[in-house]
Amino acid sequence: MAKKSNKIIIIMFILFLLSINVLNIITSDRKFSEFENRMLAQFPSFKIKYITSGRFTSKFEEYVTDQFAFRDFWVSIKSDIERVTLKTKNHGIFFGKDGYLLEDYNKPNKCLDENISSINSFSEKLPNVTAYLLIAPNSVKIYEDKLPLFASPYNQLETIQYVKENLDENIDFVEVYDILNSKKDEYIYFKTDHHWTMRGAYYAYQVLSNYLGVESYKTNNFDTDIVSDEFYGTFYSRANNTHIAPDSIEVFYPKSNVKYEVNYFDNNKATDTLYEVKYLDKKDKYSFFLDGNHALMTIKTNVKNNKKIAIFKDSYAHCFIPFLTNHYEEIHVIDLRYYNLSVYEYMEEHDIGEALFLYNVTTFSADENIKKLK
Amino acid sequence: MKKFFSLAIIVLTVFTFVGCGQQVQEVNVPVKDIVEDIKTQIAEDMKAGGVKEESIKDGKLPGYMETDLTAEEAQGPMLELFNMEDIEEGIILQQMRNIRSDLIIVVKAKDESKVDSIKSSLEKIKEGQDNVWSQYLPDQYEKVKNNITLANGKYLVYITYDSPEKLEEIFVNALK
Repeated sequence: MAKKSNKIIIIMFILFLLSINVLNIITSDRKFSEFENRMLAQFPSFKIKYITSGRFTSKFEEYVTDQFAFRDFWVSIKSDIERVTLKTKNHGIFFGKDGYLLEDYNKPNKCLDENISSINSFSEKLPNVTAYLLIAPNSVKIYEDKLPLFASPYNQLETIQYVKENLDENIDFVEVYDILNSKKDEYIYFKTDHHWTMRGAYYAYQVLSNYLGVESYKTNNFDTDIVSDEFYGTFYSRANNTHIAPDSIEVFYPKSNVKYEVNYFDNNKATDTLYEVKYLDKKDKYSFFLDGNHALMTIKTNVKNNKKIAIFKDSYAHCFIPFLTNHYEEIHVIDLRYYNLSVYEYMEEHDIGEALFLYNVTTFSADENIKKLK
Repeated sequence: MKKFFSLAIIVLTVFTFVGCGQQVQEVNVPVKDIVEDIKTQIAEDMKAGGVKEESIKDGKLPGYMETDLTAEEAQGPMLELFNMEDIEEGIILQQMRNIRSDLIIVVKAKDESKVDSIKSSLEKIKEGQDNVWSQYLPDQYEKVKNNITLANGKYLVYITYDSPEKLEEIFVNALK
């Protein structure tokens, strides 16, 4: 009798071991995981020298992990278990109250100093260009009351204050924290993504317009529309938890009839719209705004006032720039992360009189590419 | 038996001498030549990917820019990561203004003792690429993750590219 039960256990055990392996072999390989928003490792190329150097084995291990049968299911189970055991953070993302995902923020290091001095040197080299710096706080600061217990990210207000104090006085420092904080009951930051919403950008635009000396459009000058209500952003992919509600994307269209000529220079694409509808069916829905990141793009409008502005930015600018198209004839947008040519030659060649630096606190504290201005 | 042993000893001795005497021939290939070979391969890959032949003129790859590390006018944050005293020759092949992570660097150290220092500079460059690309475009980040950095004698190569193995082979073969 005892023998029989042993047999059953042995057979079950072997079946268990085999079935996972068989499943791993028969399930087809995937290239990309929408859930985790990353490429999955593919079967590594096989050469004798790669085996002796150990490269094959380590790549093979990655391949097996990434292509494991029902990977998304296991990943979300892991995250669920961690939630149940009261873990409040995954891959640097806090699980906040009311469905908010918030990114941890550490005290900045010397990179922040270098970035400030790079912008200072920009203004020294181009004294005739009026420069503005707008540093947007991240959701982790505005919604700090939503943070889980004992979470203590570094105070972004301290960073903002530090930047302000060390910035050359020729550069206008645009303070947007107060207005964003006062509007926190509105939908001004995505809950599952690291960006602000177009509504958040709108309030920052109102503040900036005072510095630019233009009269900002009021909310009743826009028609608003929700273009998607199933946006799962970058925080969602990092938190790996399926029990989080999606965001929606709101767009402000000016009622006045502004026409655009938009040029993306890296892929030589020209279009007449600021919004790329095709992304609304994809994972990266934020790229709806200005087609996502580009090294260089220009927007020419039918606002014939001969005003030109250059914008050095991170992706927070993408839903912000549409507001500026109501006030400038030409907008030149440069992303220093990808633009390796001389910025100064560009400014001179296009005879640009104003420059706006628009970054969020997290990027501005750690981006190594602002140094290209030096 | 005795004869066999003496023969064996003679053979061994000869082998030993030959072994000792075999000097590693110092390779001396200009970095520029290696980069040219690499560029030829990239051009071929571009053509295979549908880039028109006429846009690849005079050995210039569309979208790429070449920086000579030792040139006086050379500048940029990447250069600051190197200790220029380590470097005899060096060329950076990078994107001008593209949302692509491709980056190739070939460096010749002044002498072998500098190789480690250059290696750590290249590691910093890799960290920078990790920071930029882990945020955006998973397919470009994949290339960064598959980066190959390799030292061979005084020469070092850094490859972030669609098929880094191809360029690695060119680098290794150029130094044979």
